Amino acid sequence: MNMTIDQFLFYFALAGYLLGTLHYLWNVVSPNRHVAAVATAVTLAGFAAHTLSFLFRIYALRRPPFGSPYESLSFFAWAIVLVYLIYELRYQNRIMGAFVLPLAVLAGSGAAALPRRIAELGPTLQGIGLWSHIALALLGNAAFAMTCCAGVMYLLQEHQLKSRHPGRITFRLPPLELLDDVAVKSVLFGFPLLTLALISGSAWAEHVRGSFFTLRPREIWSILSWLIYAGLLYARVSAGWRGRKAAVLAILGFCFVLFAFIGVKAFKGWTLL
Amino acid sequence: MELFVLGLNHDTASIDLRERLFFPERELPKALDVLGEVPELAERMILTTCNRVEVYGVAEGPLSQTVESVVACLGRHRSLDPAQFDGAFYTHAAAAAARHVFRVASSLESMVLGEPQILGQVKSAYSIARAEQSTGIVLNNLLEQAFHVAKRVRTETGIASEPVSIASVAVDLARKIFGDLAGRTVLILGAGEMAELALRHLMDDGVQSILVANRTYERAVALAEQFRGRAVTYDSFQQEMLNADIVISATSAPHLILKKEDVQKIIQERRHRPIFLIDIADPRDIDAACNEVDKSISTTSTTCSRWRRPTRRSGSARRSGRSRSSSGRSSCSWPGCGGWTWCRRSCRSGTGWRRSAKRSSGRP
Repeated sequence: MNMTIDQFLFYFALAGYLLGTLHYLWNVVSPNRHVAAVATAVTLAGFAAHTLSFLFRIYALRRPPFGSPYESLSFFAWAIVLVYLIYELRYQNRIMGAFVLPLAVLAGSGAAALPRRIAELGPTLQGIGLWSHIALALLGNAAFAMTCCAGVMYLLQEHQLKSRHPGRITFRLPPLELLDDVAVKSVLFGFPLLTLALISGSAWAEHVRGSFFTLRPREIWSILSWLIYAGLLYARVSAGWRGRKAAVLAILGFCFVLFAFIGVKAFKGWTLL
Repeated sequence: MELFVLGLNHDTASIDLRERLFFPERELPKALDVLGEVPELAERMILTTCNRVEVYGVAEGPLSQTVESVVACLGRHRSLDPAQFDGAFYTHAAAAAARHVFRVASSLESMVLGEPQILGQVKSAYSIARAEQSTGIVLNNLLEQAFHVAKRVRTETGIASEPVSIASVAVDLARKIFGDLAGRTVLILGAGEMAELALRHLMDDGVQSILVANRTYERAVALAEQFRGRAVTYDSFQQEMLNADIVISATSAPHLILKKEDVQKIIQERRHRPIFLIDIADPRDIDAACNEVDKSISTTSTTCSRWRRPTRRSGSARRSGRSRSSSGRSSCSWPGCGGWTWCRRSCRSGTGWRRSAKRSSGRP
């Protein structure tokens, strides 16, 4: 079996993420400084390999690596890890890793399961407008993945704190306020990206299809998820929505995002766009 | 050769001075090195917690001279003028010093009597000093003995009994809601002994702003003065809840003083900032249904006592003293480490209290 260097690096990265996930989970079950340090180190190594893999692929393809479902899922995994690592650095909390990194592993394994041959792209599927659209959308989605995980952790922690029979996990999860903060910051990071992605996407559609908005399922789902996040931000500013309601909305929003990104494709067969 | 203790604590020194002399754990080896410059000091170890900074040492020369050079050395290291230390340091020698170490390890010297964290802090300070080979036969024997004594004190006296754990569990819960408690506001209802104990715990954890409400206003004033807080009238306590993050209720009122509807209204007026209600009164003051309100988490003393801390982890970690002290550090709940802690502040490595507190709570 011949494997190009970028594929080899991709598998290496995936293995790093998987190992990282296992260590992060281990750190939740029994907190240990060394395990946590290993988790970060392995994830970082995976991330570095993944970045290198992209560089090699860009060199080979002479275009950004978003041309096929495999490439975009792989980029999604990379973006999730990037966002997570930024948060780990910022909050010095490694418990979140046990919730976020599995998503990266899932996205990465999904990518690994897809055909990896280099697709020939027609002229309409190229151009800076489309590349920036995909990159922005995927980075935004990764930020929303973070929001979603923070939301899940928030609900879990709140349930534990309010229950009369709390479990051990409470003592491991980060404080509620921190989770709320993570959720807000990641929405504030992801929302502008999603907005820009929608704008650049419709500009591209206008250019190629002659209409900036056609009622394709993916566009509808994207608009719906944009509306959810807009509502989330608005409700927070105007009515002070935080905590439980915000967490539920964030999880819902991410489901929509995922559906727009993957679900629609899965139903219609794997094609780009 | 004479054993001595040189230190300052929450009674003798201001928080500013304590903060400036505080060594985070990872700077301890360096600090021990610096103390090594004092030639008369045969053995040395440093214990720093949020409430105390102490040097345990064995002097080879005359005691007063050694102590002076240690103080001067600390001052140089932290670039502090020795005049600032005036009266802040206490010293104990020989038997009195040993007695002091035993008392500290058993938490008899703590701000909150019987608090369990101090033993872990002493243990980790000792293991660092040992790793630096700055202890010798005298300190090694003394500390081993101190751990033994502390254990006996815990098991054979009632020092670690219920009231302490209720208050400390309440603090732990609060930390799981707000993260760092520095800068948070506490409202205390009632000015009795329980209220005072809970208040001590919270102060110990960095809460700075304190409001006291009591039916007898004079007692509220007295308690508020003791903790540099502010007394408010009992009738206005629901109004004050708009500004408080943590409400501790310990009145002797025979009926509920806070109902679900009240809390709902308050939460709305607080623009959904979370509030933590702790009811340590008997009979209870706060309606249990308050817990159902979003953003309000209420707990009672019975819940608290069910909230047994997951004390130290597995049996294997507990078996040997050394691994236990290291488990005290590694399983730390400080957001930087992720887990559970006995050592709280001493494990905040690096940037000092306030900066690390800000970083972890996510505020700029």
